[in-house]
Amino acid sequence: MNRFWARIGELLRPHAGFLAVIASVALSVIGIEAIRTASPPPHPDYATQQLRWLFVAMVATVGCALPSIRFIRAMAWPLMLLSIALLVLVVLPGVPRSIVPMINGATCWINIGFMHVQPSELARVAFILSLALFLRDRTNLRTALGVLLPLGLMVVPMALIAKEPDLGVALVFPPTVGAMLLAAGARLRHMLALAGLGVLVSALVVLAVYLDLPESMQPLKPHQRARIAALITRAQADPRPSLRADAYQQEKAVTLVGAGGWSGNGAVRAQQIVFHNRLPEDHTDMIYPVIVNRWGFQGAVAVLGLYAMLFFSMFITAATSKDNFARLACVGFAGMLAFQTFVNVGMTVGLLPVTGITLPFVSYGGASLVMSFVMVGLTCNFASRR
Amino acid sequence: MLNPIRHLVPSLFLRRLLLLMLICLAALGMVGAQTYRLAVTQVDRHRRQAESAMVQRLLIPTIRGSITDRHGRVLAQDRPTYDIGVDYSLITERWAYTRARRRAYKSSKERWSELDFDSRERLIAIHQQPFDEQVQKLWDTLCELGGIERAELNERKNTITRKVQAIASDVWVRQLEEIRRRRGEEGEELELNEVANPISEEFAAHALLTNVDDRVVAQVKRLIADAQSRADEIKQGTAQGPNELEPWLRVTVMRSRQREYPLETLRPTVDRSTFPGPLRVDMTGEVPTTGVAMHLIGQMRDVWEEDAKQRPFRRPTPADATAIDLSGYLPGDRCGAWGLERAAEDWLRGSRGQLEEMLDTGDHHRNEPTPGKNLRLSIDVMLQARVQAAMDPQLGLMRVQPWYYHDAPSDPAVPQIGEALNGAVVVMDVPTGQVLAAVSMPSMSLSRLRDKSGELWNDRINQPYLNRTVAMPYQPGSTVKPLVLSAAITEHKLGHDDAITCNGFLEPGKPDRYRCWIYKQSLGTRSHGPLQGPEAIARSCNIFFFTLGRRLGGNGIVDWYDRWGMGRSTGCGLEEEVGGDLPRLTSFSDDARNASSSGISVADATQMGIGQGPVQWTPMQAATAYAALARGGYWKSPTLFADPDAVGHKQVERDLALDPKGVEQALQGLYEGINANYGTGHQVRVASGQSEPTFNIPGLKIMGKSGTAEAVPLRLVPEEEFRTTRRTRVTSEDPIVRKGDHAWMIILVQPEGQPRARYVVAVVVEYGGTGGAVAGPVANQVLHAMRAEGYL
Repeated sequence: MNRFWARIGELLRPHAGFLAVIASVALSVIGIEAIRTASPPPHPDYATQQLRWLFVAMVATVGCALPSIRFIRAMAWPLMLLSIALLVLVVLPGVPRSIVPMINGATCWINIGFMHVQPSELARVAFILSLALFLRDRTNLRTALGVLLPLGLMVVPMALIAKEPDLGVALVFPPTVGAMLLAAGARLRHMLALAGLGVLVSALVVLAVYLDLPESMQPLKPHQRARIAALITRAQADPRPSLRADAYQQEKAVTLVGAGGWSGNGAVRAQQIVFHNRLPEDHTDMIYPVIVNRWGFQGAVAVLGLYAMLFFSMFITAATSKDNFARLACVGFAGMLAFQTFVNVGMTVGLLPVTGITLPFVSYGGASLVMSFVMVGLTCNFASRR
Repeated sequence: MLNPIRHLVPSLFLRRLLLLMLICLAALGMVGAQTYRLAVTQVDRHRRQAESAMVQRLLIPTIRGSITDRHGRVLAQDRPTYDIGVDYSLITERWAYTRARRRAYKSSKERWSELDFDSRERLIAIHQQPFDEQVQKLWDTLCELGGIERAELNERKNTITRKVQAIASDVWVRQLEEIRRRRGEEGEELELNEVANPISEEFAAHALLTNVDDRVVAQVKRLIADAQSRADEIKQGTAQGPNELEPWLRVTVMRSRQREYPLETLRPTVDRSTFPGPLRVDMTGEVPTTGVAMHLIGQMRDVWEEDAKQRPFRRPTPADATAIDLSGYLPGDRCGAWGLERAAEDWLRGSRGQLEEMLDTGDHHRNEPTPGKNLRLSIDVMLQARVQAAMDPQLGLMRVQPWYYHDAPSDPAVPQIGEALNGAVVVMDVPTGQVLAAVSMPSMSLSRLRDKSGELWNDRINQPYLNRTVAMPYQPGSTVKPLVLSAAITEHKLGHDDAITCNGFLEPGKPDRYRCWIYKQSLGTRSHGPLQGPEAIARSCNIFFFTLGRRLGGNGIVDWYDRWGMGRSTGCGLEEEVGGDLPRLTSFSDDARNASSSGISVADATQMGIGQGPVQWTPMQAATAYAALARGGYWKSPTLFADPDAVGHKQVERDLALDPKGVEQALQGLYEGINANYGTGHQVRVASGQSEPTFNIPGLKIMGKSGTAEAVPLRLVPEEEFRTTRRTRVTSEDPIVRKGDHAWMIILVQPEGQPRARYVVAVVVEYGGTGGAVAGPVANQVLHAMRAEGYL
């Protein structure tokens, strides 16, 4: 019991984790407000549901902040195995649809009776922890083989998630691994080579779309190509936006961001504008335009600033932590959340193609919120160690 | 560069953290900067666009302009009408079932969940009967109001159901494909019924009675009001159900608009005592005439994709992606199909109005529609109808008569006695160039047009849809002779008093080539001897004009025909007008004109002197050229509009700079052609030894020229081959379906007391035979029609 209170005392002493908590809670509150704007009645009351999830997430945060690093280390692999098992379950053919429902053509959820859980969300955290554990004592990271091995580790969960299909979540893995490898001390030229490879592959994919190559030579599925094509169309400033759904979604998002102005349209007006513009996914993937529309560029600066604060907190925790596992895990959290933020905001402002990546802490979604707060809780845990 | 950093931050891990932090900040900075660009620098554009989505726009229909004749008689107009629409749920009889189901559920709410499907259906069936009866009563009333049989009503209901189902299946298949495309090849297989959501047409009312009169509208409105007040009473508890009139709540009076052609059918009188020979009957009777001026006025059709592309309703601009053109086309719009409805489309169409409702504030902004402009034609519809009536094949003039061909035709491709003939008449006012009547035979009619068998469009030989006055070029034959004479005199190729001797054939020792018609007809026994210009025209001597053709030369004669308006459309305002046929000279500069080496052979030039060879013109071009001659050589393009500025149509004018002596001789020739007893248009020989004057209307000075033009035979791709290959271009292999001579008569009419000719009448009868005998009596009837309408 004494140890418990001592741990609580430790947690309450000032440390970098506070910044992460403040930033993430602030982002979540902004998110809930934005969700309220995006889903006026007769929509379901997503904002209140999200508020409920926020409480669950806070409990999870505290729960993750308490245990010893040793315990967390011990849990890393079992969690990873569990999430892989669940991921296999959702993509396994023949699983009854009552357990793994098909929602929007993808099998991302498991129905456990009172709620749906998303194994890919669990896999994100479990993967970072196990990779941190894996990289902790590696000495061969400065060789090419040492770099490739962790990449191999990434393939299993990534492939399973991509199979669901949830390409957006799957895409988050390589940059996370990259960030962790970089922090773990891999050679810059190896990393640059890998990054270069990634850029080359994306460039080829985009080129294939741009040149409108025949179907057999296209690596992507038609709807994914359509999104890239929409981006190309935007970049060429074609006055006639294609009416296909993907181009429409991005067009609407960009319009709503642009209509925000310097200080936004205020709650009532923003609600009307968002409602009548019928932005699809306005409370989940497309929440950023709602924020900018309501609070304007100032709101955008606040949100991006809070993210900067969050990542800063995680990096500081990594820098000050003595435990190699904790350091790498913090880098992994920061890297994953930063990449998600960049890709999500990037697509809503028309810089990147539309992918199904949510804005962490802000977008509506219980599992995503809880798992993001688990990362914050773990950061607090690591930061509070002296 | 790395060294100082290494020195400053010795730990590799910290250096890497710094790098990662910088990358994060750069990424956040990038999206932040883009947000700034969109939200601060481009805010106006995006706000405008976002706000435009908050405006609900309702389009207000416009009225198409009306078309009237020169006296203001309405030929085409938009008339507001009412349709009686009924909800789709009633049309499919689904309504009674739904109502009964609700009633059944209400009556046994407690045990509803325990009932199985069959017992539920039984229960519903019991409750459905009164609703069915109400619906049957509705149908009975509608039949009575619309004056239609029950079978007809059922047929209309079926048509609507079929149409809606066709649209729905179309929509569903598209949606299915779209979802499959988005999911990619993998993913769950989808069934059509998973996307089979009701489409909007299934909730809408559809017109069951169309174009109903005010009495029906009032009755239907009263029934709907009764049903409503009864429903209100039941709701308030002041009356007891059931509401017998309940289905009437799903009936609506729909406004619609119909293009109507009030004078499409007329019954002009024709005095047949003025007809030639055996066709003469001492009676004046009404001739039912349908499709009056239909070739000219045209009709409406649904817009095609090309129309919408040319003038789209939605016109996104870089500044505003939602910009619209209120006068643009939306799918389902109507537009002119041909004739003046087509040619004056932009003038007549008008522009929609728009009612904008701000969805956030509820404010309204009304943008009134601009009605289409009215169009007054130069046509006199009564004259048009009279001319068309006189040309009715029933009356005989446009039917092959024994005297139409000099020799009885043996070739079956030549129209046989009794066969109906096609042709065209143009009546033009000389001073203004306004067209008073332009009749094309065979005629069309609204009922033939709406005939679903497509009989009108499949008649490839007669092509009744063709406006022969402007869209069909014919060999001019001898009708060009006055034009050639005046040109030759102007070009000093013929002195004012010069004569040319006709020996029956042009080239000495070659009696088989370039023969005169008189030589041919008399089997080489007769010729015209020496002739001066006017008499050459009146006698229509070929040798005289072969000679002039040669003297003018290929370039000269083509140049002159070009000046007279051959080879290019007159610009009368109809889109279907063709330019006829005339060889193109590479250049009309003086050098080229004088050059002896021209692309046109001497043989062609010789033939063109008598209107044969590579020349063809339309009756409109012919009338225009003769009008120019009547004006003393002043060419003016014809017009179909009474207002000079209508439809942005400008008449082109040019002086042909003819030698006045040439004009005088040509007109003199035309006068003799009708009035001298040697004139080819003087008499019609209706039977051997029995001749009568071509024109029997007193008190007029008539000048004119007949023409019997050897025509290019009409060949057609054989029917079976056409059906399989749709080949339209004919070759010399294809069989001849029509041959013979086109009969022409073009006259200038000078009413008493007027200094010069006032009207031109151009008549052509396709493969009709001898010009004077066939087209002459038609021209005579045109004059009678003009007199009846007060022109003469």
